[in-house]
Amino acid sequence: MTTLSGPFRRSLHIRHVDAGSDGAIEQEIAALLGPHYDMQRLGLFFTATPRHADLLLVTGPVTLAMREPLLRTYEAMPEPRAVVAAGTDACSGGIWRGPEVLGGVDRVLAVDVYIPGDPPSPIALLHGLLLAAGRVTQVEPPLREVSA
Amino acid sequence: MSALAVLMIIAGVGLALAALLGGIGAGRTGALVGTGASLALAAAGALGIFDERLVWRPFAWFALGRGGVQIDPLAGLFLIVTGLVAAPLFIGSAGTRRVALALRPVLVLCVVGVLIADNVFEFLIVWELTVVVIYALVSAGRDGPAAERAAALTLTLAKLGGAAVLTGLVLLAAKSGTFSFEQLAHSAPRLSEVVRGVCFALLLAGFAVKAALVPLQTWLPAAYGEADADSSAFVAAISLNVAFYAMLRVWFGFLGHPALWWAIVVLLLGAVTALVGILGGVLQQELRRFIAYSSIENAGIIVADLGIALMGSAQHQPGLIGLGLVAATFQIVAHSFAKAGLFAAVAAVERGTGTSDMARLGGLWRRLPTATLATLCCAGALAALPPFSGFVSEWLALEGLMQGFRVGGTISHLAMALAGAILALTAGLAALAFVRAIGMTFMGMPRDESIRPQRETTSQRTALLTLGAASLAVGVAAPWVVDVLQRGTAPIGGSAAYGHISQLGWLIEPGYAKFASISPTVLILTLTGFATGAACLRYGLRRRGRTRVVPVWASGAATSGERTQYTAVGYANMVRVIFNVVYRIRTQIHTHGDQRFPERLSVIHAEPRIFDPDWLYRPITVAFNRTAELVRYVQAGPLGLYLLYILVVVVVMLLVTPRLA
Repeated sequence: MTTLSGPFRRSLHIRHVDAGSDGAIEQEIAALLGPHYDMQRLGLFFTATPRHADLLLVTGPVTLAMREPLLRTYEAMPEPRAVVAAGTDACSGGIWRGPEVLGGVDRVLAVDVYIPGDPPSPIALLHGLLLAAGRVTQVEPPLREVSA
Repeated sequence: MSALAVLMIIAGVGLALAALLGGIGAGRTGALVGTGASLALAAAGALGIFDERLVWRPFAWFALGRGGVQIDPLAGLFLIVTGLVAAPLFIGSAGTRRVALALRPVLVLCVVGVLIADNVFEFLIVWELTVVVIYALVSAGRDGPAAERAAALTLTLAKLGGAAVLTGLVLLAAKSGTFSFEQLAHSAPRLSEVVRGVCFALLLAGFAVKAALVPLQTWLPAAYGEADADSSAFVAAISLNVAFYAMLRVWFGFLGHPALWWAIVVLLLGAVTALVGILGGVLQQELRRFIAYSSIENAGIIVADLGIALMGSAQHQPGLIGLGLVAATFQIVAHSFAKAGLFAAVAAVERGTGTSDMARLGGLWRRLPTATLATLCCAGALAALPPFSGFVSEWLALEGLMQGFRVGGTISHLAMALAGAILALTAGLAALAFVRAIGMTFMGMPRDESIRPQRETTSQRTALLTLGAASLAVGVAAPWVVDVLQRGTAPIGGSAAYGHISQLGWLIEPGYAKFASISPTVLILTLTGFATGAACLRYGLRRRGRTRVVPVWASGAATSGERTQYTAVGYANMVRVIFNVVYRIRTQIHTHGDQRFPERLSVIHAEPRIFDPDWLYRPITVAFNRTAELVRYVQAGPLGLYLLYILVVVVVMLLVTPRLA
């Protein structure tokens, strides 16, 4: 259960910040808005200003240059608010190393929901967002027998 | 000795003492003494309006008629305003220059002299003394060529005006055979219309300089821009009123039945001055210069109000006389308090930040809350916003101009309609200009990181709060203020004009019954009630929770909020574009080769001709210089030559005198 559980059942506004993404996940996010996934039907909306946002969707490993803008955006959001790290890069920093890359989003902000995948599919994104909104519960994947 | 005389003596001695204390460097004590003296002055004025008339003519100025002082209700009215405005100004005024500290009480003293003078000769002396003191105050403000030029311009124009006043009054005195004000009031109105017309024109020119009417207004922004802000407050809120007092006293008291052209000239001159003043002000970058231009605007409105009264007098409409006189005096009262408050606020801003440049200020409300509050009240008054004093006076003025259908003749109709339209436009522009001035200076965010504003001192706070509250109180108590103003203007308006602004309890009904009425008092009570109700709802219904204070959102990029707010130039840009016929300001777009990507926009700020009437001043300057060249032949410098002149004069006198005897 995240901080957003409860009051955001019908309407959740999302501010997306690209903190240094390679652009792959942005294509998947764009697909959310199309008629196939149509995330508006679920009450999920992208907004242009953090002042209206309930949820911060961060993509890409956090680069040094985007650290300040990311923090500023988070600071500008009203409470309650949640942070979703989308994509492997945002979750852990992925394959990126070096002085310009800080690593995963959780190096900078407390993350509520991680959406793995490089890039994650739109349906995974939707699941992650609904999870952050407290509208689906996390289902533990069944343990698979690994044959030795 | 009457109570009035005692109070006047206390006030006079107190002001002289304040000047002395200021001169020897005891500024604080001097200010307190000055405050006491000013309050005595106000009390004397109140006695002069309600109770008694002070007439004291102990001596004769040789052939120049009986001399002395007289306080009638009109003088009493102006004494009240002078005293009540000067008292808080003395409290709040600061400064290290002894000259300025000593001269401020002297200026008040000179103004009082003008108000109580009972003889043309005395009047002219104190009138000129006022000019000299203003000149000294302006030149004591700052050092440098700009201050010198401003002081010289002030003195030169005031001297020219003084010459016109001298000629006009002496002509009037010569034709009616007396210098005494009392006898002038009896004999001057019987003079022929030509003589009275010539006197009126001369006096209009003379008073126009003092009141800063177009095209003789250039000295005012220059002088207020260079004198220190505290002194500017004294000049703007106290000595400017002398011009209006003189107009009321001489035009209405001595010149008798006005010709129609007087009314039309005064009406239109006032309206045009008001428009030119606010058009000049709305583009000013410096706060204090803007406030100076606002003085020109207010002078225009007051003179237009006097034009309404003259029109009523010329057209035998006593209702219009009463309405015009009350509107004019109400505007004088409103302007005095508000302008004093604004200049006190400028003094606080300049002391706190070292500048009054709107391009560098901003967000001062955090550090200077009292100055902000006082500025809001005073600006509300001058922008004619409802609960404040200026609203009532401007409403009365427009109400008077709407009575144009009652006067006869197409030209009068046109003049009234035109003046009404111009004043309405002026009021709109004034609102915009004051929003701009407050917004750029006190609201928003600081524009210059290097400015660390200092808070106001306690005495400044007292002065600011008093003057701000006065601007509000005069508006709230409007029906009672109107009553006082009617009593004050009764000696010049005549009995027929008295009581035309009926006061039905809290209601003001100007000029004519059942035409229009307003109750500023009820208005403010209602507004306050609504505001309080809204505030209660807001706090009663608010969700209890933690308040988090975060910076202004100005995109995630590293732009600061300071850079993303209006600039003073930008805010007034639409006015500049719309009225560029008047301004004729050019803009230039700077690019680096590619026309599509402008780098910078610069506004080429040539002072428009209407604001700097070189066409008027140049011939005078040239003529003056030629005369000076001629005089140099006589005045060559050697002492021996001058002794020779004296010898020649003595010989001639000796030859001539016995024959006369």
